[in-house]
Amino acid sequence: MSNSTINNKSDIATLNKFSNKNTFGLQAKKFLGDNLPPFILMAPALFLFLCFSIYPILFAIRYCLYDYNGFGTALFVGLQKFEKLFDLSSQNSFNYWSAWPRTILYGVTKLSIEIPLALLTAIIINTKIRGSSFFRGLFYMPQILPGMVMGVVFVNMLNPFNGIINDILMSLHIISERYSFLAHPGSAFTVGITIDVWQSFGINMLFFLAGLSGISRELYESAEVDGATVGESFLYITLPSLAKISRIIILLAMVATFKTTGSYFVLTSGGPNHSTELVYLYIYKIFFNSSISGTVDIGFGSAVAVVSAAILGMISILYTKLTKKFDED
Amino acid sequence: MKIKEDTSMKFNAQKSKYLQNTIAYIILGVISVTVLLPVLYAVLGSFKSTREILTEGGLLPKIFTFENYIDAFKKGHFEKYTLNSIIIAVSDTFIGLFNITAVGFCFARSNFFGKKLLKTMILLTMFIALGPMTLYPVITVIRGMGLQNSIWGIVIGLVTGMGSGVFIFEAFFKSQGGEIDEAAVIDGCNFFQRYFFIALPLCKPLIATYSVLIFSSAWNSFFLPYILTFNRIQNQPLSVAIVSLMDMGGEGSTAWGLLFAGACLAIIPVLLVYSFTSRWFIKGITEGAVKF
Repeated sequence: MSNSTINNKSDIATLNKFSNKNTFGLQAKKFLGDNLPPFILMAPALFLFLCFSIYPILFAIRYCLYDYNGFGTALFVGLQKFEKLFDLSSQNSFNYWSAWPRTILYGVTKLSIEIPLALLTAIIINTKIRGSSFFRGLFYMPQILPGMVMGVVFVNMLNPFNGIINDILMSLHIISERYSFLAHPGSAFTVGITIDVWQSFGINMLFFLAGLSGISRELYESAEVDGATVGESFLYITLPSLAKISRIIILLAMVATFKTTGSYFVLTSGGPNHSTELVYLYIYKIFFNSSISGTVDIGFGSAVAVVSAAILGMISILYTKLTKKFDED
Repeated sequence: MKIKEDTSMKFNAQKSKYLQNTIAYIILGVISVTVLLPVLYAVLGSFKSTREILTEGGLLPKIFTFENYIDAFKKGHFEKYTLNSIIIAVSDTFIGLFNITAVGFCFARSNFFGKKLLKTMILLTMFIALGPMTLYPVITVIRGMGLQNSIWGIVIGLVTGMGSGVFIFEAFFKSQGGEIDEAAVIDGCNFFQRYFFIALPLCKPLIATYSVLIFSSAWNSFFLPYILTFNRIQNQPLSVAIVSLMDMGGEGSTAWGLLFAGACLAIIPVLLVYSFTSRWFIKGITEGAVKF
């Protein structure tokens, strides 16, 4: 604190030396007085922001043009890494480009289960039936549990020998014999989506509850007077009122989808045969799983990261443009 | 005649209300069981022996044993992992809270040079998929600071300084109004005093909500600590220790009993924090969502 005031004064002194006009000195003093305290208060946050948010982005943008394995010297190779990425005959880039449709399928399926489920529970809880705040707290709970640890628990629950999920499904006659869910591509993919819905539908329920609490009761009452059925008032009052918040929910969920390996990291680590490898899991493997290529190819990894961020950015912009009409209120 | 009709209508309405409630409770009940099952399975499983977990089915332990917990501390070094998790989560909560409140306060109550630029940069980094894109460079930064072998490397890498929290605090500090600032200035309060003694005490509920959020996200964090502790097992937090324990044993040879006990050590603290605070915690999140 005292240090900064000294700096402050000496700065003003130097400024005064260069200009004889007193107003300039006053202006400078005001400028510093306005700026120094906020910047001192924000210094730790700004330092971390530069180190861990801005620098890493610049790092990826720089090294996508280099051949670099993390230790030796970096060699400028221009767009060579991008050529490698768009060369579909190589196994590595084929895996990358097939991770995209898979990630989109994952996101779309997850949302189309999660959104109706969240909306349904939100509507029920919003009627304030007895115990509604208990259910609200309970349904959000999986969100705060450690996902990877729960993944380990699910691996045990899903095992084909004595797993409880096999037992339950057999006693409900949904399956007739024990099944190894994680060993088959289709079922492993579905199981991962189910677990992620289990973990994250609660937050969307809370968002919907926030949206529902904004709809006035009078709207429903007057609709009832006009003879609208429950279904009609849902279709013409509830849904349109939720359009705005749904747009944000879907955008947030979409961005989150590309920031996650899903539960697949623990369940299957992308297998069997890459069938559950989402984009993040692929990028993770390039950087940290040397078994894929032997050495770490940071240039290639950065190229993948830059292209992925660009694709995600385009999807987000396109989505915001396409759904703009829902935001007009 | 008219009265009769009326009562029967009332009766019908009551009946349909009753039916509606029953359906609602059935739906809520089924979802509740699904939500609770994995947690119950982990908690009850931690009291089964590894042999029972591998051979018997069912939810309840046939023979109740504390052996797993004793093993976890005696052989598994879980006291170390628990301590690591506590250090990481607690320090991240303090640093993270200071950061988001400070930036939120400066956005709301001062006009510093480059405010718009900083806001745009924070928004942009929120929507770029930072996780996958920047995990490697983040670790290079930590290495560059010489913290790769220390638990503080994990702490500093996980601090969530910026994000939606900044804007929610900004909205809150704005709603406190400028008059309070003017009065404080007349009383001789400088910028820092206004932050520490006036603005912060007024947003205790929001701070409480965010401390739970930051605490649980640091407690549950996985990838960064996982990579930073590849060769330094003594720095592992609980979540990482449990996953590596599963990776170590192949199919069948995993020490499931130990693993379940460890899982409970990771689950139960957040569960306890949540159950004591969920009422206003949820309120805080919903209000934040509306503001955002």
